[in-house]
Amino acid sequence: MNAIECENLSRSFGRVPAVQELNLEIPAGTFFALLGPNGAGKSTLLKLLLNLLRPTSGKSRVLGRESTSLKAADFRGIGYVADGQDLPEWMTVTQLLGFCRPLYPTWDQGLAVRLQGLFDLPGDRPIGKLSRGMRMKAALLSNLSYRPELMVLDEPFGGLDPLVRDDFIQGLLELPGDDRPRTFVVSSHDIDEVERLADDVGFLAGGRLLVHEPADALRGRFRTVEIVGNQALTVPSPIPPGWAEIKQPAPNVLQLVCTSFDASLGASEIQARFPGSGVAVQAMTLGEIFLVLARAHRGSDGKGAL
Amino acid sequence: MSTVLLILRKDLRHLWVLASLGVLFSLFATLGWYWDLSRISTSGFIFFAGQVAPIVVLFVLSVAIVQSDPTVGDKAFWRTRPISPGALLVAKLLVLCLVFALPSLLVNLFLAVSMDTPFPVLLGMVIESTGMILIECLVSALVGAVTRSLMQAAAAVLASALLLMAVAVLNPLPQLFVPWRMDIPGHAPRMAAMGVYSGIAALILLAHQFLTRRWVRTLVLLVAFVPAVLFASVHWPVSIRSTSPTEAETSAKLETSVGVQMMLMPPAVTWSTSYVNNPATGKTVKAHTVAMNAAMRSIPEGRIIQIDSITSALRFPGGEELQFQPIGRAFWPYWSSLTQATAISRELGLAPPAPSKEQAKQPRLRLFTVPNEKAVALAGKRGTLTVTLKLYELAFHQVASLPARPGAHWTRDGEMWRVAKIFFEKGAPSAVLEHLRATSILINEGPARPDYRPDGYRFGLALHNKKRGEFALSTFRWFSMDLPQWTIDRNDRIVTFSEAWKVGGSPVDDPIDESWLADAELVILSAVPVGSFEKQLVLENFEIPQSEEMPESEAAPYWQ
Repeated sequence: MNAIECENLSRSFGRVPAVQELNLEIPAGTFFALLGPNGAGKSTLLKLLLNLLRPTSGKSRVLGRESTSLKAADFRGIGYVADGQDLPEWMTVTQLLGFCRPLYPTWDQGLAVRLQGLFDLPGDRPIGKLSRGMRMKAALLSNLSYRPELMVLDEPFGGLDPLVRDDFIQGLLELPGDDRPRTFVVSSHDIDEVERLADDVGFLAGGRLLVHEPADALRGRFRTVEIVGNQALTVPSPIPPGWAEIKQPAPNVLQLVCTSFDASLGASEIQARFPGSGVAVQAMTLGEIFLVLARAHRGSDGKGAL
Repeated sequence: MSTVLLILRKDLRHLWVLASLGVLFSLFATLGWYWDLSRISTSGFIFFAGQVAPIVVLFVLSVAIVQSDPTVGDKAFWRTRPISPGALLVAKLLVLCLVFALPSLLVNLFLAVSMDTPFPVLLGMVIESTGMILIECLVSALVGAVTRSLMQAAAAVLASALLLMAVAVLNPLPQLFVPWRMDIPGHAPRMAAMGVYSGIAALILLAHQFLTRRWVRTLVLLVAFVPAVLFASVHWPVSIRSTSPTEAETSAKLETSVGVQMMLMPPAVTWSTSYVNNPATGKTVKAHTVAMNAAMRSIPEGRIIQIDSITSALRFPGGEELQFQPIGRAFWPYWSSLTQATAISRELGLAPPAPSKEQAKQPRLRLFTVPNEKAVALAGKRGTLTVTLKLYELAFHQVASLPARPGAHWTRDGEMWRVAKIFFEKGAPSAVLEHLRATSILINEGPARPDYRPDGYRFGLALHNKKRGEFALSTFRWFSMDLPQWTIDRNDRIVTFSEAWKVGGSPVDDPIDESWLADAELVILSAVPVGSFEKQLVLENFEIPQSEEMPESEAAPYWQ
């Protein structure tokens, strides 16, 4: 079963398209990292999913219900934390938890207490007087405590110091505890934090979903390649498919990113093009892959993908 | 329900300062009105304190309460919580009711009961006062629900006000917003209906906004609702008590003066320039007119005869008929101070003072008015003039009697008179009187409304010293400070008793002083209708009078 489905989902603000003809399926139980540069449409997509915005066309489903038909009761199974979200600033953390608790039949008070301790959140201070990181943790606490089936986080790490980020991720890791599948959708342009958690990765740019595949597969097909020859090397023409960011720092050195690396063949396919040369292949982090994708998108006037 | 209570508890805990201020404000606004608001300062302050400030305060507090939980925008925290828009709306309205409507309701109940208000009026007062506050709360909540901040809300209201002002400049405001004229009897139920329908419309819009969060659609609906509310309030008025008390109920002891005679009064015809209504266009145009005048004779002493309506028609031998524009109550002739004095004396069993020559003068009664050009067009054409006059009689009826000293008060049937102050000026006693009346626009008092008579024609006052056998009547036209009407209709009056007589009619020897007042009582009388009758004046072979001296017309004749 899919936790999230989008079908030709579009949303424009005036004449500016924020999300365009987007199709997406996120299976239940997946940790989905939605990556993309600023202005890619990540927040808009998440708001469309949760009915905070209405689509211009197309539709989306969340936990089996069409987003535009989401009822109050449906939010008993959905958590949402977003950067810049309006919070009841006059409430203390204790008051916020006390208010939220009766709203959720699945509220886990033990988890709430444990997370509050983990986050080191003072219960008696108004949320408005907490630091930004503390506010984000308070929002996350009030969501994780009812063990939502779907947890949507929109840029949760922006501006947080490493310690708070770690607390945050520890909190997310605390969530599984029963046999229900939990789905996480985390949008970020700060990839390193979600790398260790992400099962699936989607890359959004210019409102279009350019890449959507399992994180391992993505990491598996992206490699940095350095070719060192005994004599001057020539860039093949036409450029082989899957090659990007080709640089030649020296006449006998070629550097490139291979986006269609086949681990079963190893470097042999590349080696065959440059007989007698040395080929060094290196795995890439999601962050590095993200940068390659973002640069490729920018260089192709918003139309290209790798 | 539990969600509603949860939000309600949260709001009251969070907004207790705001709520306390709201309760205090509601209590002060109503009680201040009842107590002594009129003495605070000048009328400008009263206007602000009594009308503008409550509206502004109510608006600001209502918007603040609604916006304490942001419901607009994609960052609203509660929109991703299992809180239904309906529960949020109900909770917010409950808070507004508790803060604003309940204190006002309690104060109004207290005031109404303390003034021995009859139950229908009490019910009307409670519904009206609470309803008016709720309507404003609903409208404020609606503005609060479609905007994200108090500044935005204020800007929206100001923009709406500017729009209304612009519309008002382009279209006459009364026609646009009060589609019934003030001289149509029974307009009050329509105003009440407008309040009720506006409230219903505001509630629907608010619910729509909360449930759909489509503010553009809400605004479109708002625009559509405006004519609907106006139409409904004109065509489906509401009234708790739709019939007025019959005339027999008001005073059975008086008989109607059916022996009154009508006669043409010299000069029977007058020419003048006046404003007449063009029935074809509904506009008022300036025209030279010919008017027929008459007078009433044989009116018994102490009786006041008034005009309800005059309809005149001129029928020509060929069957052609000219209907003149009917004349309504607004054109009645007010009575003289002598007439009032004799009517009051009659009620109190005192001999009235002798009339002076000037006082005895009878006012002229206009039968019909016709534009000059029409009169010229009908020159030489003779027919039968039929004038039907519906008349009614007023009598001064004693309402209250209270000691003539500051602090004295009288209360009955939702009415209160208080003597606030007595002072002497130029040797004559003057009194500052407060008159409070429990009222409601939901109570239709029938064709007697609206009453065009100024205070001096509706009430009579007398100082009566029974011990000395002397009495004094108030000067004819009082200064009256009319405060804006609310469910407690308050009028402060300053009256001077400049002349005094002995029982029997001769003037008193010594001026009234404090010792005289110590034994006196203040008698308050009200002019009430006591009966109606009809007179018909038929003039055969009648021709509309002509004059060669008639001025030239300055405007197009209205019958085109």
